[in-house]
Amino acid sequence: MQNIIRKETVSIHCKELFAGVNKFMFPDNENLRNIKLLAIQSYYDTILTNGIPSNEFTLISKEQLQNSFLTCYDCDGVQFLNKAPLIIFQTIQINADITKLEKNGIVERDAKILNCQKLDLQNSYVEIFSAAPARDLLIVIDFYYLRIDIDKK
Amino acid sequence: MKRIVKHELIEVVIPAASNATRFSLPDAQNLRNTQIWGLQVYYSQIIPNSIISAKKTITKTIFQQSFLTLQGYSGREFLKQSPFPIFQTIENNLSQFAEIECSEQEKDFKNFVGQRINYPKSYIDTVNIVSDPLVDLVYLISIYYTDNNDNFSKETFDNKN
Repeated sequence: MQNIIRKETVSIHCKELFAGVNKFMFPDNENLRNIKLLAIQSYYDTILTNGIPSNEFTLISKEQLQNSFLTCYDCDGVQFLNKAPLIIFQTIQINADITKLEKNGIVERDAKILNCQKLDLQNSYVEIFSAAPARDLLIVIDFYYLRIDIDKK
Repeated sequence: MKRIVKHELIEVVIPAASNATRFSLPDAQNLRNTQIWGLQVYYSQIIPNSIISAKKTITKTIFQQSFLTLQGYSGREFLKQSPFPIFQTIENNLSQFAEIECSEQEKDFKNFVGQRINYPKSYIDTVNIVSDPLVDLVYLISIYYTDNNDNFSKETFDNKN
């Protein structure tokens, strides 16, 4: 398993999803400026039941996660992730057992590793293809990172 | 897990009512003269729609009948008619009770060793005619690669922890 140096959970509130392709930019996050990206993890509603910081909105469903794609830029303007399916960053297992859903365990494997790219979060975005309109959904993504100015090694 | 340096999503369209059984990979500008380190493929139960064209992805049946051939710039087909399922590494299995849904999670993509692929010369073969009579379908493929502009270290892409 990879080491955790720093981790930030980012939520994107999708106020309205129209039928077709929807694009949502990441909000500016003070902790994620001037960083090197180590890993990314995505979630959907079966893995994580509530969003943060409030419980008001629900996470995207498994079907919506299957139709979500992540594009990331680095600080040099290079698009190092071009329409990467968000499902490839979902590494938590919660398979049903043969009796009751409540008894099965939730098991993390290991987050998808990046290569210390200098993430430009504000120019990065998530695209969701939606078959039907929807409202007030939450996309939750974890970023594992290190600070360029503080974490020297 | 292997590292991701760069990722590109490409799609190969199966036109509606097509009689073809061979489909060439597209010439993606970002993938010219790059080195491939990983490849991942999808079908409808994993990713239902392509974000590039909004077309539906191939069914599991078509997936099982598809074979990938990759050719390098030297003209050699270093990957010859490789079955598509070996590049599908995302788990989305049913439980014993079909109404109880299982989670969908990624394991780790199939890795290469930095071959330079001539994408327009590479192709997908199918056993039978697989087109839908009414709608276009697409093969969706993730390419993990590096190009000459990357300043990463030339070490392997295994987890070094």
